[in-house]
Amino acid sequence: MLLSKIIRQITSFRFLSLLFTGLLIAGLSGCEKADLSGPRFEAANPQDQDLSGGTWKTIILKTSATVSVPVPDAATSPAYQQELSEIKRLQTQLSGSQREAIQYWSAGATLRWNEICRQLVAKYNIAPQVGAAPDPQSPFANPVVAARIYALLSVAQYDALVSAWHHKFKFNRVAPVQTDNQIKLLVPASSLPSYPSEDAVVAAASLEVLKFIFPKEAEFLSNKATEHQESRLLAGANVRTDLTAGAALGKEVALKVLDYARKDRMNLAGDAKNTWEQALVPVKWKSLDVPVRGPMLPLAGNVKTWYDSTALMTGLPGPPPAVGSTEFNQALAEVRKIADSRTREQWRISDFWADGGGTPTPPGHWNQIAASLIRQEQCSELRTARILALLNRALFDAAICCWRTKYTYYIPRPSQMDPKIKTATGIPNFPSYTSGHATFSGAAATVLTYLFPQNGENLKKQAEEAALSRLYGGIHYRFDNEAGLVCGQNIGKEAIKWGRTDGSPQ
Amino acid sequence: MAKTFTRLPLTFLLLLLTSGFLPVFAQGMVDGFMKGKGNSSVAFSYSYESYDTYFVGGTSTQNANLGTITTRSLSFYGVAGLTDKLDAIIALPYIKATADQGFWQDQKGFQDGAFYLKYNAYEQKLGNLGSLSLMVAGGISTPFSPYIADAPVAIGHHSTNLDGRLITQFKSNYGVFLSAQAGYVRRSDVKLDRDAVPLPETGRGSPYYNGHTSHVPNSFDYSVKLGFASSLVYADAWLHKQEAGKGTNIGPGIPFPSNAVSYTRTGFNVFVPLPFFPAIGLGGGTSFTLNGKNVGQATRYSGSLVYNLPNWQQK
Repeated sequence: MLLSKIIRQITSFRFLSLLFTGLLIAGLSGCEKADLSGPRFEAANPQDQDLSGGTWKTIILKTSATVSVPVPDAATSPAYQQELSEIKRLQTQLSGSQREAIQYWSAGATLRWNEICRQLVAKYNIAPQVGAAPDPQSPFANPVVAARIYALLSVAQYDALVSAWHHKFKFNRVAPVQTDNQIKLLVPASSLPSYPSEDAVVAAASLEVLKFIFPKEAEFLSNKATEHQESRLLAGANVRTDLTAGAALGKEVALKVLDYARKDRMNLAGDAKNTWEQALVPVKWKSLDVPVRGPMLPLAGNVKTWYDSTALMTGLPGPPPAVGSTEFNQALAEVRKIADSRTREQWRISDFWADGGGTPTPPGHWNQIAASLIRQEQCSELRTARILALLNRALFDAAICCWRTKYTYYIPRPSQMDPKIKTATGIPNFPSYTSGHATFSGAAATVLTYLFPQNGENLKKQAEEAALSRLYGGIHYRFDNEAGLVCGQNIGKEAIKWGRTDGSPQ
Repeated sequence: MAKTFTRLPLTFLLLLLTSGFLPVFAQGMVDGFMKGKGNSSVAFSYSYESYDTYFVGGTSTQNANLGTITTRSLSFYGVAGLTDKLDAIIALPYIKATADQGFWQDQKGFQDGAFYLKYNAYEQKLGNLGSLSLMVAGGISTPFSPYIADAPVAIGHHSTNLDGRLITQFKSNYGVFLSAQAGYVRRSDVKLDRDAVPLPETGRGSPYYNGHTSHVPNSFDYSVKLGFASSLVYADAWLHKQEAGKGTNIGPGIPFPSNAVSYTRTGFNVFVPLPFFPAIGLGGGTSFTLNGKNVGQATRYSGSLVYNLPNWQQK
């Protein structure tokens, strides 16, 4: 019996025991669970602090001097000496968690709050029950809503920091360590005047915006903001009045940004009267959800844009191939072909860029990409905020332009036209043309290429892959992606125009 | 008596392979019978499992956009007695999972190949009553294809697992047996295709997933089995419980591999050797999910074909 001979060979005691021991050792090492805390980032240590930043153009504020900051006590005053003593007292008994907080926040104030915002978006990016009325306490942070949140946060951070830079150089208060050499500086030294504190400005502005959006998180956010500000005191980087002045400034700027938010027409985007049902097109999109769900934010296309709305509306994509035309059918057949023979790599790409429910959405994904570029370049706090404000205004405008296009043409998803098209990702509950992912990615890659030209090639590749991922996923036609990318690139160009005239040396 | 048992191809029992949310085959990988030196069997089994109700945490729910999820699997299994006290066991399932509503693509592929050793550490004759034995078993299972770890329709969680267990069995001289097992399964982290973002309140603590990595909760595993084994027929009834360690509940954005999957299942098996060709036998079984967490409430049917190879010691 040949078979039993073979079996005898491979079942020999010694061979098996060795194999088993080897596998077990390999398995044991593989079964160790990785430490998933973090991400842990090095302390930011920008060489260029953008000392001229106080003159840069603000977005919502008229100028960087619009919000005033009280004149600080002189370094020689008893009040200031007492503030120095407070730091020294606190530094004698630093706990482990305090040291950890210092380390955590030193990675960059704007970036940390951006990260917190992405986590909050992910937490709230959960579609409500079908038919449920919108709950202002628990906003559904879908891609459009999320793009608006990122923009409001970044704009508040940026305007507050430009103001802070203005006041810093107006008062020129030196850092505590320069007055008192008994204070230990536990973060990299900064050439910036310390009053008002840029960290307190960012913490307070971020707190104000985020608790307005996510009222249920007020306590969590407030604890974070307190920890953030205290960490600067413990690190020896700021005295108490640097923080209180910064926090007051940050809060006031944020309140002005929220005034803008209340009037941007987003409150009408949900189309409470279902006017979208009246739109007449030859073959109309319908919900593929069970039970059927009303489409996402049909009037988001009417929301106020950040950049030049005339230019943006002129650049909107034209009509797609008519449903049923040869060109359309070819595009549909391509989706079907990919769905029928989807490779593992196509699935991976689809999943990598899916950014669906429970994630920070595509705008969040691009914020993450921007954050890692900012870290590589070691940008100043102010430059970081400028980058994110340029990016996130473009991303929200991308949402507006894309949604306007979606609810002009009401193009059905591929699976509506051919139910045999199976997908590698959830089918979004709104019309197909143009792709939101493509529009976001075209805009983001264009803005980021302007800011990080040496990464241009890679950014372009990422944007193209993000767009293609929707075709691989089976939920978009190629023409959705191509038109979305172009529209996004045009939005990016409007952002660049703004960036070229904001007074920053770039 | 022992000789009679060792000739019985009990191998078809292992084939509790998977359901949409989890790779499970611990319960059946090892039983309380030893093959005996030189004896070996190979088996192919087919199983059909489906559910339309699943547990999010402990709350039972349905998803009209998935409908009924059906998992079909074809598995190869082999067991050989290396010595009278040591058995080696291998298994490899090919699985296809399908949702009958909505538009999610089917998943199919080789799931996790497994390799186990089982050692009969202690055996005590109990006079006319029968005998009592105590066995230890250890095994490893690891993915045999790059299947997708994190999708609503999935064939497994793609972790590499180490399984250690103790088995005790009493068998009477009249064929009735009772066995119990307790095991612990350690599961490796898995790499996700996407970046999974932990909840903000996780703070600086270690979450169950972050970035492209997800923990897969380890689990305790218990089962009891009552049956009858003779050279003409084999039948058993079993109860199996998996209790996962800390993990997440099913939810949007949360990777499926990080879910804490627990369940209690019960099932029955019968097996008969062919009358005129006892080297080949046919088996059938069924199982039901009584309750669970983060798992489908699946019902399963399976059939198997077992071939007992001639003893390689006999020329």
